[in-house]
Amino acid sequence: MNVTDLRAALRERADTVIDHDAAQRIVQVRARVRVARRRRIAGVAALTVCALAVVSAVAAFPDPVAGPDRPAEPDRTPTAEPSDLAPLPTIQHEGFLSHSGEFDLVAAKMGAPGQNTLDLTIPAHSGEVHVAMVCSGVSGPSGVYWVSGYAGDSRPDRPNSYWCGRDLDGPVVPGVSGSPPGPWSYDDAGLTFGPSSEPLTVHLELTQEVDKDGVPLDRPDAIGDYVPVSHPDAVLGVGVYAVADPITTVAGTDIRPRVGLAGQDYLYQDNRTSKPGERSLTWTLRPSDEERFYDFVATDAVDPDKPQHGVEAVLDGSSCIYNVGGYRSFRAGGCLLSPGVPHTITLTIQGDPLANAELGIVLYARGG
Amino acid sequence: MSLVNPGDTTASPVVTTMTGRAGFDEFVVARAGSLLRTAYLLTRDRHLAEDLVQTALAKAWFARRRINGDPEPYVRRIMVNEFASGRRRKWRGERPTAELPETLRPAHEPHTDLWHALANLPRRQRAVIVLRFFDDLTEAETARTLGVSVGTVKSQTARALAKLRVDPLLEVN
Repeated sequence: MNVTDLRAALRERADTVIDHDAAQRIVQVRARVRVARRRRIAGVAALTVCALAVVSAVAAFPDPVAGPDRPAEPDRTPTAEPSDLAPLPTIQHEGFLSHSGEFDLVAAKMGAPGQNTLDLTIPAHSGEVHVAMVCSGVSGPSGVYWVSGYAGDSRPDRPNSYWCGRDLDGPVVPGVSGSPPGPWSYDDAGLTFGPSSEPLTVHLELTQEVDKDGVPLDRPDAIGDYVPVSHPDAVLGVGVYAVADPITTVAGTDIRPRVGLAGQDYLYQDNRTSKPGERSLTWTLRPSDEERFYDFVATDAVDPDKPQHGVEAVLDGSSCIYNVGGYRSFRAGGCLLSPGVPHTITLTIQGDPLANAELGIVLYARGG
Repeated sequence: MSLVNPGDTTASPVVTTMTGRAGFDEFVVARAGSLLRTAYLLTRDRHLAEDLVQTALAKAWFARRRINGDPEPYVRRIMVNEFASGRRRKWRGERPTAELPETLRPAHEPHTDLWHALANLPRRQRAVIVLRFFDDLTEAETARTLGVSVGTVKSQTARALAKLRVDPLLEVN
């Protein structure tokens, strides 16, 4: 690849962007300006109240050390940032678990049968939020119907989509699924958004994936578009979870302070990472009285041209999870570690590791 | 800075100022499409690109009295730094599970390998690549846009190109 190729490639990619929303964009930008202006005014008002309080306090209790003439502080107009916002309160909802590990439910809505679209707006928020989507009531082969979700006014041709099935098996549990001792599976289906100083509206649709001729596909495909459809029995649901801030990063992946497994929170303890390009990583753990859990991260570990390859995770000589799908980078759940005995965890990249390959093992202990 | 964005297929715009609402609207109509293309190369996602452009435009509105002359470099600077700071998180697409999916191969798209290789670059290096080789900014202009030294632009460019050259996705082809 040379620079000329790079220029051409960038230009060709950029040419795929068609600007449909030119007129609407002005409306959207003005709306953002209005919101920001309101927040600035609110910030000034709050600062004024604080300043008055400080002035009153100083008048009542003069500082005996301060000199007579202090230079005036520069005039600053405060602006409200998402980090200034209070956390959204956790709610209860019959369709979604209210708490699991790093997730706390802050908004949820379940549609009526036949309601093939569903919108949910959450207030401005200070941290990351995860949107869990669910769809049920649809009979027939799974994969024919999907629930697709996106935010804002620009609908992608391939919105984030999730299987639509026949029945709901209890409330939705975000994040990790499985049963003791594991292996658990990380299920990140859904949408994730960062902090926002504006309300966020999520749109859900019942969809089918169609090929370029509009023929529905009955298996997940990398090239189809998701088009809105209707079904008299389909029930859509959406739950928005506040996500705990990362506590560290392992092999380029954010690690949260806790994960939820089978109704219990496990708290982050420690991690080990390999050097870039190394094929395997082994971690021997001393015995502990605590019930512990491990998961692992593989970054740039699998050659996308060899999808049959994966990463093998071996716990105490037994393969706990094997081949996680031929993805270049991924995070996978491991197994529970029995208390009182030592453990050895070994990750091995199948095939030749890529130059930037990195492996990480993350250890958690059951919280009280 | 050149007013002609070499990545554009549209006609070269007239310099627009943002002294009032009409001027601001005129600027958005004339140049947001170009900014959107840059934002798309940065974020690799149409929705995030639109979000990034709107964020930069809204911030530029509050700073309009400080902008002399062509506002586009100023807006682009806000946009690129907003992206490089990572404050806005991208959507996570479909994520891997423990099951091997039926279909793993992506659809053939132009320069798919480079597109994926760009995703492996750190945000600032990707921004440097887009500014230098799509927006065709000089090293000095890129440095001003990112708020870094020319030396940093040179080193970031060299590292990014080196990383792209050894990226297995591109080596294959």
